[in-house]
Amino acid sequence: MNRRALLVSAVAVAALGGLGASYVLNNRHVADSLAVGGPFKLIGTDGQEVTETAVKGKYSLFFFGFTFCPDACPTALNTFTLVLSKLGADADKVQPVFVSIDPERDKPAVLKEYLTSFDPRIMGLTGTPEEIAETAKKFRVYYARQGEGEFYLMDHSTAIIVMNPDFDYAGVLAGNMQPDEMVTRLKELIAQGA
Amino acid sequence: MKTFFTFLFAAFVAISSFGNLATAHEQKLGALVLHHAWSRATPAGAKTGAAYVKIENTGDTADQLLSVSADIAAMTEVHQMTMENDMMKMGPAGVVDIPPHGVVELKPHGLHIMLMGLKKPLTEGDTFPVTLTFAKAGKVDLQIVVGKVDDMGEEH
Repeated sequence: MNRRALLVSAVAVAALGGLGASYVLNNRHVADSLAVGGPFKLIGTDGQEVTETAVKGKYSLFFFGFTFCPDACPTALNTFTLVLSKLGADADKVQPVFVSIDPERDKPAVLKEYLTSFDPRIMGLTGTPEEIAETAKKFRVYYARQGEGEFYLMDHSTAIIVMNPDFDYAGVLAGNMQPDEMVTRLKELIAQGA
Repeated sequence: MKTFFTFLFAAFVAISSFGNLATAHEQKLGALVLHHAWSRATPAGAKTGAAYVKIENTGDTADQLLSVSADIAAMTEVHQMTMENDMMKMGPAGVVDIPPHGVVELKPHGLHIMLMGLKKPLTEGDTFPVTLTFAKAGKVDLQIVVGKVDDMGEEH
């Protein structure tokens, strides 16, 4: 393992440590296992059931957010859009996924319309509140509703969790990572076959 | 006839200049100078947007941004986005202090004017007014210029 890979792993572990800690603190119980990511059952933008089989065979990038979010979520989706275009031929080995943690607002049709502003290869997923909670728990993603009434907001983790083509955990990328750096990291992962 | 066209041209230039004034990148209000008021275009169907501006206080006394309002949204507030580990949190910022000879920049991933319940999408190239109320400098109507959906606010 070269120095850069070590550094990358150290950052990933540190970031996951943060994820794990916030999960434990905020949910007051410890995760069942140390695995990150796992089988899920959610709803796609056409109202269809979507499971992990839809992303197996590719490196899938999971970002959890919501459409009533003015900053971090459009930024992450713009990053996905740029990354797909910059990856060139490797783009077909990568599947970005945007999972809503605001199922009350983000019905499939809302998510579908919202995603028309970004690369059409980005997969949008929503679900019942229970399905979202179950998936977020598996991915060690924390979210919480803030405020009351029509204009409530959601606090949420912004890390991008990467699963490999076998749908095993492959790493985590910072949600505010620059597109060029993300392309480099993904190309490394693809080259290593990690 | 030539004179008439010259007049038309002059009138066109004059109108264009007024148009530029309305969206100037800098606006003075007492001791405050407001730079580069902008927002990003919103994704399709989005019900929320954010506007940004850099507030410079050239005076010797502190001022405060008390409130913001905009007709384009059902509810407008100054919000603060903070990151704790990788967790993004957002919420009302309350009164924002503008220190003497200081600069407070509303920008992506930080303080922003949160536009909730947008009555129409923010479209690239459009402008819309937002009113800022300061404790000392008073009220100012800013014309917010809408940039691209992936704009990060670099000065153009």
